[in-house]
Amino acid sequence: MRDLLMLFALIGMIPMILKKPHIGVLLWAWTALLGPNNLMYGIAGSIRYNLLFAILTFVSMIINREKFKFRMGAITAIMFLFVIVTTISTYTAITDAEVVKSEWEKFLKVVVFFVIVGMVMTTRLRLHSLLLIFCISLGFHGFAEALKFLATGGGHHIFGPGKSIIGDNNHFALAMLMLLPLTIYLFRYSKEKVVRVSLIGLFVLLSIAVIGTLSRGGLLGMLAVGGWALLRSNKKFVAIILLVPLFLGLLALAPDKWFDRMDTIEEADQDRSFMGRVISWKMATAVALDHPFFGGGFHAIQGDLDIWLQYSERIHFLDFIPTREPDTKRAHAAHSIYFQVLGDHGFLGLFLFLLILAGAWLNTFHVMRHTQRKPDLKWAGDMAYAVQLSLVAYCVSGAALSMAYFDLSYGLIAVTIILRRIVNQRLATDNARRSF
Amino acid sequence: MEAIFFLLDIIVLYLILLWSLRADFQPPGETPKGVFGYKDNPDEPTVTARVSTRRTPGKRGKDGS
Repeated sequence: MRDLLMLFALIGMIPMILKKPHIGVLLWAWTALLGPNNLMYGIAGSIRYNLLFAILTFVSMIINREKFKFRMGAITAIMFLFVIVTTISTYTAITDAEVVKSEWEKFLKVVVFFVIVGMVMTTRLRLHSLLLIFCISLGFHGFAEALKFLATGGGHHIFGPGKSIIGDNNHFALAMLMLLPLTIYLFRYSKEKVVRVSLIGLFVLLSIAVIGTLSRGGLLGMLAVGGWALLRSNKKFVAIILLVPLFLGLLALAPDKWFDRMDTIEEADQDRSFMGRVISWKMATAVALDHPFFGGGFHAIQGDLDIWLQYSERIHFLDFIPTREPDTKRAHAAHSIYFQVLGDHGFLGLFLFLLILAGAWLNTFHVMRHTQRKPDLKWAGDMAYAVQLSLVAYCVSGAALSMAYFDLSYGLIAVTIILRRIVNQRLATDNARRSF
Repeated sequence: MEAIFFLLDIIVLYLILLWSLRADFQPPGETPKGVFGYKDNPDEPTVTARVSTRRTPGKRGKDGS
């Protein structure tokens, strides 16, 4: 049934992509974030939708009359340097595990998506459509899982879809948190009541989904996003009136085991799970000190048990941070976007990664500052603010999660670049008019 | 249950694609119409998709029809 539906839908999608390439980008984003293959079990489940939509988008860009310019801005240039570093680290990786090259290929696909978004999604309409697609693709999982959580009276422990990057409950919580500000932006700007009601419903369900993951990182991310929104708000009193009941309402829905789990935040130094993360961070640091420029390659510490055991012996210089002895039965993930990049691509890679994040962050401030007194560009300032809040969630919750190569974060960074470009073009036009 | 949600998701996806495709052909500067249409300013009033068949009082004929 689902397979037939998808195949029928596909037949209609192809001419749309060929008519307008941005439709291809929207579908590309939808498949990258939803992972429709995991939801189908027949012939339609074996089609590589992501590749298909990417190829069709390229074909459409070639045959379309519209000129798609590639603009090499600062962040794009840094991104290319980062790709070069990841390529070198892949070919000089400390392990020859298959996973290194497959992770590198996955990352290259994310970068290609980032570049194409920057070239094609150049108008407000296209950006608005992209945010809608982000919400219905990742939001699909949050929507379904939150309903299961409610139907079981809080008994259902929420995890993401199996094999995907958001399969882990903490990763899933972060993905849902990143969507929350986008749903609020879309809610504020949507004209139709039915869309607004759907979006506010999605916002509530995504918030419930974050609680249902029992993720401590999710709670910290939620507090960070709420705190940042409060700090930046011009109407702090109104923001408190809105945020506090929402948070209390979510707490009322949370099961007892959620409170038990959150209580352990105060005893992080005695918590097995948290201290396991600290061991992984020590490992990543040790790998980076051995390979300072290019690191150990993708999955440097988690790809190979031998490498993990080898570095287990070499983290004692970091014993001033007390931890137990590392696990000897299996290698663990880096559990932090920062330490993940540090271990995988060395100090150089981490420096470039931080520059990309900082650049996106500065873009949002630039857009917000220059649209304050321009009513017709208010949407750009508000969209930049929503993306900024998503990036706050990514940078805070991501500090304890291995999601450095998450498609959504690079998509949002591309959105900040386009917003800055739109605002700069407008400023240039205004200046030219004034001087004329 | 998941199949129904997936069906819903594809329907919404299709609606967004059709709306976005159609709106992309509109002249630049014109605010896109349709179910996913957006406001220039968030303070603008919200609308419903319902089409009203009632006549406004000022447009009535002399006989009240």
